[in-house]
This record gives sequence, structure tokens and C-alpha cells, in this order.
Amino acid sequence: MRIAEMRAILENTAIDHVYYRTYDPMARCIGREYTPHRSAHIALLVGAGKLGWDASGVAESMYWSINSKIEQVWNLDCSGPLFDTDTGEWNRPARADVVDAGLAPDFVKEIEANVKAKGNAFGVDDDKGAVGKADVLYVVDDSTRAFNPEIAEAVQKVLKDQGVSFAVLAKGTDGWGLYDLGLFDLAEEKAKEFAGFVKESGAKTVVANCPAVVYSLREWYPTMGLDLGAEVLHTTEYFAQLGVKGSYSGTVTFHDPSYLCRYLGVVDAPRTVLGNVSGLELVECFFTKDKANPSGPLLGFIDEEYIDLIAGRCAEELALAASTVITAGPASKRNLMRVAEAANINVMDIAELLAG
Amino acid sequence: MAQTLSLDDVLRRGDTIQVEPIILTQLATVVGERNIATTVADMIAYSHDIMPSVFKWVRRDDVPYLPRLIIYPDSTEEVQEIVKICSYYDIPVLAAGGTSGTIAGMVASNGGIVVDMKRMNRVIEFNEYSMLMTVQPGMLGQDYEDQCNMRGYIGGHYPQSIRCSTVGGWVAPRGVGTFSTKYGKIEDIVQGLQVVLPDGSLMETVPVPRASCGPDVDQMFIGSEGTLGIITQVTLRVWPKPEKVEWVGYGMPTFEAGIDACREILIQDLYPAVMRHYDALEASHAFKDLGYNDAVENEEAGLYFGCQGRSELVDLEVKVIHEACKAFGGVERPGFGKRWFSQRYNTGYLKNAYMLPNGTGDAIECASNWHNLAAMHDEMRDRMYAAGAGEVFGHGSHFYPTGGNLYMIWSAVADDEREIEKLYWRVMDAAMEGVLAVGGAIGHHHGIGLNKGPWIHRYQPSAFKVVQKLKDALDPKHIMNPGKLGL
Repeated sequence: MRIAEMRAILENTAIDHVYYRTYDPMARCIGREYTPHRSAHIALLVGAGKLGWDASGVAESMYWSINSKIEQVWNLDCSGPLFDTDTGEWNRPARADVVDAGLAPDFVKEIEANVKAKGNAFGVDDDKGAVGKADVLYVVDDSTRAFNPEIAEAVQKVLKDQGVSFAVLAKGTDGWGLYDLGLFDLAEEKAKEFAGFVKESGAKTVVANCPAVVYSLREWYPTMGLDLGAEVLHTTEYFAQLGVKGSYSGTVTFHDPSYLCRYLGVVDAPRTVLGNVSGLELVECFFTKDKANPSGPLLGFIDEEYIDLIAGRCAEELALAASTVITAGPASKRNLMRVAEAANINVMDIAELLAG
Repeated sequence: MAQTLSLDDVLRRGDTIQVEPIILTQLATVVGERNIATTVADMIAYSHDIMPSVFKWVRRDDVPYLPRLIIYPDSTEEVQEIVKICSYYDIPVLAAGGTSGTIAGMVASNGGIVVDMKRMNRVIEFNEYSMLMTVQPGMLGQDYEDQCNMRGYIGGHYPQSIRCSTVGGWVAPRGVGTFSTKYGKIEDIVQGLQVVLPDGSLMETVPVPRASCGPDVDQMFIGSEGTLGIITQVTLRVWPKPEKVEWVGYGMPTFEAGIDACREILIQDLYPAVMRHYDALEASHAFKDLGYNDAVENEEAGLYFGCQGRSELVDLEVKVIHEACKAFGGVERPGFGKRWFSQRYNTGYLKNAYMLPNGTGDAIECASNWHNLAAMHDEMRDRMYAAGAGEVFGHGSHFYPTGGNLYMIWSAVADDEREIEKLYWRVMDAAMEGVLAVGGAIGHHHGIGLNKGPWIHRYQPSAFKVVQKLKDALDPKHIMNPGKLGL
């Protein structure tokens, strides 16, 4: 069991003197004490042999966090390096233990089944053809393919308008989301497959509109020895490099996706891109950049209602700044769209804004 | 339902539902099944606050107090119905906010159910002209401040726990914020309350600045620690954002000289938002960081002030502070206050003692008048050392025209693991005896909970009898947070 070897980090998290609940989605939006330091306490008891994964609620408690790193940012802000811990460091191995024990929650099993049946997390029919060859490869992730294909269309329009010659990779899954849910073996298998697709293209530059894919390819793949031989950029970074210009009339606010602002630390590129849009006035939300509140999970969550509560709170805060919300990640758009009507906001990806 | 339940008990029984089915059904009728949690994981999540002994329980895989279930109401009406059911079946009721208390105020020491108030987290009303904010009690503290800020105001209440505590959790133990000298303590900030009483009926006060209509009922519930009812709505004062902020710091020749300077400022009717005064040992940590080696060598006590508000008033406060500190031998130590401000929510140091193999410690807050403050510091420190404390230092962080509080922080290492808890309670007892010896108050803002229960009956015993009678009258079945506040 992986967590039996992780006592120090679990103990440190579990006895976090003042765990910062204010911006923890489970405490703030759901109203439950389902915080990382409580689940670390539970994992500690399992690791010590005091409790089994099969005790009621125990396996599921490892999935209480959406691993947005928001708690790490605030803990660091409040307490400095003493609590500079990414919940994922211990809860991903704990989730893998849960998966090994055959006790993964239903939503995880569903995602696993989708990947095994269709090659992607949401069970959409993938492109079966070979990956085209080009110096620039645009990666359309599974969430974009399943829920927001309009983002992919917009990205491709922008690239074409810029005269960029590119190939499209719209199949498979990069694996990070599976890893995050504790499906370690499947994640590694799919990552290797995905790396093969990327290499097949011969691309020198890989561009993705999903920040988690960029994190995966840029940060996670090297830890597994997967060298893509290419620079990996988020669309906002690439658009900023290209100096893409656009026009829009009105006021907008920008929602920083968790993987873009906290995992990758990219906060300037989207604002540079928005600054190149004539007629657009950007009004920053009260919570912005690395302190932007998460809109919801990357792939799925233990309770659908919880997603609406998390997204709803995020949308409410964004609405105070402007009724048009620009974001830059498919999970953010997917989550915010669930509550857009209730919050009276319009949500669009930055690529859609540029595509006009 | 009213028996202590440990994790071992639950695992031995092999079941998860610790409540009779008929009661569970009735509660589910009120809030819906999905707003009741009964799993072992849920019970562990609500098994403790952050009383220092908890850390030792966690480290030795011990979970001594589990609630029977956790229920999540969304409205005052739901809280009323929950309490009525619990009253009928004699079920102990524990209201939980951020579970960030340090005195075991919400642990299920007598079993029962936890009512987590965090779903009740909305702004009810903001009256800008009267500068009053009415909110539900489950709103997290920093969220409350953010809500004030979004409207162009400040809440003025900044406890070190602001990012993990709730508004209701500020009121229940009669808490204070770090900027309290200017903005007041929670009892000064609260202007109205709504409370569900132990029989499920509702008590509401009219949120006016003051009334001569009998005793102040708000004040009966502020500090009642959930033993008299569950707070379901709070109306609080807010303030305009300050025009100017200034920080000034001084090294003082002695702790007593610093107290004299604080007194001199307050008796001139000036109330700097932050006033913090450290004894030489505690100040030395900051002085070392700031490179004031001479201050360390001279064993200077440390004193700093945060002044904020209208510009002219801030300037006057800074002038008077400077005059007072100089008059009592103070030396300017720039950066001292700002250093604290940048680390004001950092409580990591409290964990350090507990991470040692047989380490223990605590931060004990108490209060006294000017004429006893320095004596209380010395009395407590000396008794705590004699009881086995390894290091004791202290500071005052909340002041009044007639006195202030002391925060005595201590750590120690026991000879072996079995001695840790005994050592903890020995030092705690010594500290409390030190307070009582000089006529001080055994708690200033953390409350009593289970932790200080052994001493509460000796602090103004005749007055405590009134509290006991109030409890008996309002909660004859003693279902509201039993065992806390010495009740």
C-alpha cells in the first residue's frame, strides 16, 4: 500500500494547525468539512492499519478534493513553507491504493470503462486515422471533443487566420486526468500511447487549449522518461507569441483555470492576448490569477450536485466583475456552462473570442 | 446517543449508522437524506477541533470522540426542526463551524450529532447607510471579510483563524480579532443575533446600537459556546476602508515599561487598531530576524502598533505612540510591526512542539487589569516552568483602557510518550493557578470548551452559578453541547 510509506506527509497535513478552509471548495461551496487535512487524517489511519478502505465512506473520502492546488496557494500565503504541500502528492497515491483495492467510486469506474472502450475519458468516438505531419500540432483533448467542440473549431480558425500550418491530434487521452484519479497503470499506458501520437506528427511545437494537457505533456511526461522532442504551449501562450489580434465590443472578465494559473503558473499570457483585442475592456474578478477560485473538477467528481455548487459560487463571483466570462480551458467552460444561466453569465473560451 | 463513541467502538460494532432508524428518518425528513452523513469517514472528519492534544491523538492513530452523525441544515427553520427532534429524544447537539477552535469546544465528548452550519453561508442583508451586515453563521471568516471588501467596507474582525473559522464560530466563544483595539471585540461588533433555543424555538434580538430594555440578551449568547442554543443569524457592524495605515515598532527596556506605554496611549482615548507587546524572549525571535542584535543582547521587550483610519487620526496616534514609548525608554525598531502583519495568519510555530517525538505545548490566553498584567505574566511563567515547561514566553495582543490580555506560549518535551498528556495538564494547571492567583480571567478569547472546564468553576464562582441557572432554565435536558463551558 502506497500510503503506508507516506506517514510524514499525511501527518503534517492532518495536523495542519489551521487548515485554510475559506477557499477550499468543499468547505466554501459545499459546506462540508471534507477538507484535505481531514482526508489525510483518514488516510493516516488506513496507512497505520487502524481502518480499512472498505469502511464506510473511507475510499470515497480520498476523492473529496478536486486537486486544484487552491489550498496550497492559500496555505503558502498564510503559513509559508510549513504547509506548502500539494494535496495531490499524497491523495493520488491514496486513490491508486483505493483503485487497487477495487473500491474506486462509480464515476472513476465509468471513466476507466470509457477509456478502455473508446480510448478517451468521456466515451466519445475518436478519430481513427493517422496523425498528420506538421511542425505545429494542435491537441484537441477529450473534454473539448466531448463537450465543447466549438473551442477546437475556434482554435483552428485562429491558427489558419494566422497562416500557421498545423496538424490536429484528436484522439486518445494524455493520461494525466486518469493519474489524478488514481488509475495509475491505465494513465501510464495511455500516456505512452499519446506520446506516440505526438511523435508521429513530427511536430516541433505542440499547442493545446486544455491547460491540464499542457501540464501533462510539459511537466508529467518527462518524469516518466517520455521525451516529445517538442515545445508544449497552451493556446494563450502560443497566441501571445503570434501576436494574435482580435476585436470585441464590451466588458469581460477572465477566469483563470486551475491548471493554467496554479499548475503552470501562466497568468500573463491570457491577459496579453486579451490586451490585443481592440474594444475589449478587461475587468478583473475579485479572485484572480493564482487566487482564482476553481470552477470544478478536471474530469469528474463524487457528486454531480457538488460540481454545480462549486461552479455556481465561482460564477457568482465572476458575475460581479462582468456578465461575459472568458476562460481558457475546456473543463472551466464545461463547469461554468452548467450554471451560466442561473448566474446570468455568458461563457466563452479565449479562442472563441479571437475567432469572432 | 449520549455516550462517548470512539473509532474503536464503531469498528468493533461493525456498523456505520449510530442513530436509531426512526430518528434518522425524522432528521432526513427535515434536511433530506443527502444532507445527513453517517459514514465512518464523516465521523472522523468531525472528530476534533485543533486543541493541542488533538495532534497527539492524530499522531498515535487515536480517535477518541466520534459524533453519531453529521447534519447539514440550510435554513433557520431546518435548525429549529433538528433541535426539536434532538430535544424530544434527548440527543446531544453540537453546532460546528470551521472546527478551528483550540479548546475542544465541538468534540463529541458526550456523543450526539454535529450540526455543521457551513451550508448556511449567505449574506442576508447589507445596510450600507447604517453600516450593518447580516449574514448566516456558517459563512467562513475570510469570506465575510471578502464580502465586506466587495462592497467597499471592512469587517474589522481579523482573528488569526480568519481563514478557517466561521462568523458563528467567532460569536460562540466570544472571540477577538487582531485589530480589536480599534474595532472592538466580537461582542462590540455584533449588533443582533438570531438563536435557535434548546426547545427549538427562535430567539431574535433587534439589531439597534443600544437599548435600555433589560439585560442585553445578545451578550448572554455571545460566548455561550453552543451550550444555550445554535446561532443562526448574525448582524455585525462594518467600517469604511481605512484611508491610511502606519506601522511603528519599539524595543522597550522591560516588559513592564511596554505595559506602561500601552496604558499611556489608551488613557489618552486613542485606540490604535493593533497593539502587541512581547516579552524579551518572544521578541528576541523577531529582533533576530530583523537584525536587531543589540535589542536581543539588551533583552528588550518588543512593542508595535498598527494605526489605520482617517489620515489625521493616524498621524495623531503615531505621534502619541512615539511620545509614550520614548517616555518609557523605548527605542524605535522599524519593521517590527510590518513583519508581524506579513505573517499574521501563520500558526505553524504552534505545530513545531507537537512534531517533536514527545513534545507538547499550547498558547494560553487570559486577561487582567493594568495593575496586575506584569505580575500575571511573571506568576504564570514561573509556575509553568516549575511544572515542567521547557520554554515559556508571552505577549499582550488586545488592550483596553483598564488593562489587557496575555498570551502565554509554552512548549516542553516529556520523558516518554505516556508522560506527554500528564505534562500538558500539569503545565496547564500551573498556568491557570497563576492566573487565578492574581485575580485574572482564565480565558480572554478562545473560550472554555472542555480544555479549561476544570478551572471555570473557580473563576468568579458566584457569577458562574448564574450561568449554570441560565443553562438549567433554557436547556433543562442539557442537550446543547454538553460538557463544554463547565456545564
